[in-house]
Amino acid sequence: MNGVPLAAYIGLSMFMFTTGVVGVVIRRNPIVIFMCIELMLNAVNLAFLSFARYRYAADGVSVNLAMNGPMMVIFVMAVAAAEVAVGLGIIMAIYRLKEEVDVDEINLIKG
Amino acid sequence: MNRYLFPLPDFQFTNLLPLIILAVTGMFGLVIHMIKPKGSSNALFLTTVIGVVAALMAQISMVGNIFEQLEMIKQDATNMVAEVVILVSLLTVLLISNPYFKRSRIHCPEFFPLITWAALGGMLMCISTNLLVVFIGLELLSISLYVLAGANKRSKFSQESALKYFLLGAFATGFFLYGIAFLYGASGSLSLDGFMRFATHTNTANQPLLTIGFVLILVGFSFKCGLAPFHQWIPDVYSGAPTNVVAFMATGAKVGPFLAFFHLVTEASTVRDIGVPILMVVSLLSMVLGNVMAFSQNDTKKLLAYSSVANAGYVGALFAGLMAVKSSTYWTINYFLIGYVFATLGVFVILALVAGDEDSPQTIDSLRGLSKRNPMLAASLVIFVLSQIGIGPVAGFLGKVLIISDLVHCQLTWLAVALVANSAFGAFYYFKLVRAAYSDAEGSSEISAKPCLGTVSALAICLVGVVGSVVFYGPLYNFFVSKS
Repeated sequence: MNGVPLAAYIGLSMFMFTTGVVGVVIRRNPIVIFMCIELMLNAVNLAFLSFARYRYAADGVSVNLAMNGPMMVIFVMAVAAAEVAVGLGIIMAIYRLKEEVDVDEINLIKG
Repeated sequence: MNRYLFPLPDFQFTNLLPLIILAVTGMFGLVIHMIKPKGSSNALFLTTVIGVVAALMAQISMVGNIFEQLEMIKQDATNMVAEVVILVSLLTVLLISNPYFKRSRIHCPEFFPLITWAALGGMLMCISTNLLVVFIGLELLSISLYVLAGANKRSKFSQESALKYFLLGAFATGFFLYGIAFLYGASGSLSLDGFMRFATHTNTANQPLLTIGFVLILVGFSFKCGLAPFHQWIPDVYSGAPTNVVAFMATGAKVGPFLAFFHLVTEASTVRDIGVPILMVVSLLSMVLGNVMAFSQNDTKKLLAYSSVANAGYVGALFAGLMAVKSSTYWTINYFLIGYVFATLGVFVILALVAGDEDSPQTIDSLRGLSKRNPMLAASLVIFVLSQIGIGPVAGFLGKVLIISDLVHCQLTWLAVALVANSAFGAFYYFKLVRAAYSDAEGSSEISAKPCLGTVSALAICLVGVVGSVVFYGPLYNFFVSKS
């Protein structure tokens, strides 16, 4: 039987997650950083869906348990949308004060 | 037409009355603001305080009501104490907020609904046994606080702290969620005791997934609780955000993540081999870094930020002990949190009172001459600082003794020794606050530091928390044991 193994999906998800993490660390524009965080959340969603499908089909987990994964994905997407709203609001507010949205320039407070 | 009735879940909604009251209070506050958008925030303030007091009374009347529902919500003595602590700290912060906003001319009516929802998220994290609900609570808490950190819309510092908090918080959420995904992949379940069930018929092929998942969740929780390698956002955010918001971030908003973390480490005995060393290193690093960095700070809020990192380290040490030896001494975490929350809150109440111009970080000099201007305030500052250091008959002392005895009981004596050494070192920088309060007021801003009714009652709540929990230690402990 041909098909794609679970490892391929998890590998792709890990690649997406790593790309997101690296992006957050090296990029300087808050909006791009935020896009990288969204990429991380998408990696999470992919992992949830592939685990759910795998558990249901291969391990014979009950439908109730297998539904946990897709349910989680819906919540992750809803929360990510709320985060977008708040995040863009904060970036707008800071832009109105400083006309500058580069995290290297936003350094009044030093740890 | 066939009439189909959707089945109701087997769920007693009255058990969640305090949470429901908080949620409704927040929504009601939004409606009030909509009706009177330009009015003063007094009506909003009163409504929110009434709602929070109602929730607190509902919570206290339900003490002893132990239940577990749908494998999602679990109420026991530990969670109940934590919920009461969150509600009381929310009430205290509300009481100081109205005068503080007026004095520093911050117009932020959204503050009242948002902080209510933040507390709701924290309470949800306390009582939940399902990682999905923990996630919802965590996000409710965090997203509200992202907005609140930027409550002072005219201050660059406030906006900057909001942006930093938001970016790093969302980053941490990514780690937390990815950890949940792997735990789900390993055990097929989102409930916390899924680990235990998994451990009974263990499948070694899934062990790597379990380990990766646990480590990722650990990173996420360390971010949210402010444990050492992931603590960098704490001083920056605390320094820039309005003082009353920081008062909540450092106290009430910490309880929820700590409790969820606590539930996780007590259930995750399957990953003990990797979890205990990581927790030991993280907690040791937090204690040392927090205390060393706090030593050189001149900015009061940053000093307290590093002190909160050190305190998170003490709790982390307790978690390492709990994970190494599965014990049932859940009283320790509760008692330590009571001591930490009320002492920190008390210091912040005083800081909010002496806060001057909000467009620059508040230095220790703002406390200068406090003993001349208001001896009572200075005296209560001494009590709070003593509790933070952990000497004398105050809650902080007993909390630390409990942690140390637990660590010794768990054969982690070296960690207990490190904790004692760190507490002793911490005394130096806490005393800087007291020294400033009792020194002459040369060149300090002439703020009258005249407390209003709200501030006095907030201060009274904190004093009762710090001193009363020692005086009534016996009855509290017996009550706790009888309920758990």
